[in-house]
Amino acid sequence: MKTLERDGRSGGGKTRFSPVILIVDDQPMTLSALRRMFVREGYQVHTAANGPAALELLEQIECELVISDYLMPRMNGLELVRRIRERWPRVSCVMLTGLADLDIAAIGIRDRLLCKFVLKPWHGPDLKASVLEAILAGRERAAPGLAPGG
Amino acid sequence: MAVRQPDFGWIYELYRLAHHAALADDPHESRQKFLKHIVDAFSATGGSLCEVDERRQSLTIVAGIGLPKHVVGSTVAIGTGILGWVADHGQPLLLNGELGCDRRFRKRVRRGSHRPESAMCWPLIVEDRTIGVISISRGAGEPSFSMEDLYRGFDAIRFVAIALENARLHTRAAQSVRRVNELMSRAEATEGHLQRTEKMALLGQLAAGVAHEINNPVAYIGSNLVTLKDYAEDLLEVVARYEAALEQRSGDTATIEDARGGIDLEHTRRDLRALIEESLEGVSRVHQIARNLKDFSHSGDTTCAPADLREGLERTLAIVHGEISRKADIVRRYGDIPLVECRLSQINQVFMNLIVNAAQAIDGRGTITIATGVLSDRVWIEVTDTGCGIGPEDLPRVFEPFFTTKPVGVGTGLGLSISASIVERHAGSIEMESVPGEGTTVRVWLPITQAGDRDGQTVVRSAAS
Repeated sequence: MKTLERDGRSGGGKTRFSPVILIVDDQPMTLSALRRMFVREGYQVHTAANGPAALELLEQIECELVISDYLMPRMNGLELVRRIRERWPRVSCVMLTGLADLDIAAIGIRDRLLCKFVLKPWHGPDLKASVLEAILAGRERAAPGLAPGG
Repeated sequence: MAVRQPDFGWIYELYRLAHHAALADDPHESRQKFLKHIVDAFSATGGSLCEVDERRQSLTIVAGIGLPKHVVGSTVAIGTGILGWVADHGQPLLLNGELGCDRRFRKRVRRGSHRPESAMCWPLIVEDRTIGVISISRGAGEPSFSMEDLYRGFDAIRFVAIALENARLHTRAAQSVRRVNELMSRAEATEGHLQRTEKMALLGQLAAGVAHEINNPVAYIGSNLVTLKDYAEDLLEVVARYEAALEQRSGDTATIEDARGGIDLEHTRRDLRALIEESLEGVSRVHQIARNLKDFSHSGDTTCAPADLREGLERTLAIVHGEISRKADIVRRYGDIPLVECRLSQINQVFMNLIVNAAQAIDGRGTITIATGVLSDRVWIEVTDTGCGIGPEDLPRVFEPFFTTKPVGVGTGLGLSISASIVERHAGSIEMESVPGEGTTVRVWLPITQAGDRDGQTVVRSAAS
């Protein structure tokens, strides 16, 4: 379950923008497509196939943001992000789902569990922008005035 | 007297005619002949044959001689008119001269209306029931009937009344059979319609799941294509730089190294094939879903053909995957089964219904076990869930149409009754066992071969592999 991809582009001497993210989805192909998209953007990408596996992985890695599906076996995405936000309040969460359920989005936003709710099929540039925005907002909260740092 | 002696030959012929009326295709024609036989024997000029209706409230004139045409088919209330009086009292009646003079009919007939000079009326009696009335008449100027004529005719007619009753029962039975056939064909048409409606309702329930199933591959294929575009741009960029380096005819490896500057071709090269393979697999996944849906919604397959039921189960599972996967783990215990002669799209509908029911019975998360097996000339397919189960009070009712324990809007209440009728039409059977709180098992039994195709179409047979 644990994968770590290095940034595709070889950087120069300066500090690269290389945040660690975790993507959770029960479809391996979806994970694969998202991983290659974010790796290309310079992210360090971890993946997990379900909620419990994601929680286990988060105990071992430092991660800034989680992208999670909603419909998954064993634990749904909302339950997962609730647990993540309880245990790691500084991790931002984005829900990426094919289920256009406004209730889920409303609960997620109301309970401050989600900073973005994105529908599948996703639009690459939008998803990238949403994730970047969430990460920068998270860094701003953690250390005001310093974002975007490395 | 012109009255022919009602001898044995005449009575036999009368009986034959009455009996014929029981079997004839044209009941009116045969009754007409029967009446004519009597009219001729008594040298009468006219006559009528009436039958008492089922509720014993009116008489219908079913045959007539020397009567205006519209009279045949008309009805008379029992107790009114002369015929009504005879039917009511069950007694023969001789009328001679002006009817109005007879005290019994003073209030029953209009004065001055045209009436025959002489008439005889006989009730047709079977086991103390009056089933009809025969009347014959002579016009003015003809000799009158006598009491002897009346009783001689009554004896003969009493004898054949039973044959006429048979005729009537036969007609009624034929009508009933026709009505039953009509109702059956109507029911069959309705059932076919319901079956399709239920199927569409089932699909409707699954639509969100199916959309999800399709969205997933579409999402990653789309995303991969965007990445592929980036990869292609990188590759084209490197190629362009190589070409430029060649143009300068510089053998300097540093220039060639420069051409790759900032572009990680290693990663692209490693990932490119995977990206394409995964995307192609996604396309075939969408294609498969579309094909499964088409197979499922196909309603035109009316012929039985040998089919692999395990493949049917797999296709059905593929359609319902989105709906099921978040509620249950699927456990397959497929035993070897031969090809089974059936209408596969209908049998798939049964499978889908059983699997969706199983998933809907599960509160939270559970397991659905699907098993197959064979026992002599029959196969069985079993769907077991770890759901809420069905109480013993509901269990006998689950195959009833419109019986449902699901909330309004979930299910039509027709799924199991339609499944049962599909299985029945395949000469199979369906059984259910349930323990409340533990789960339910539904078992479908199907014969491996169909004895004869109900639609009269040839059953395609081939050796089971």
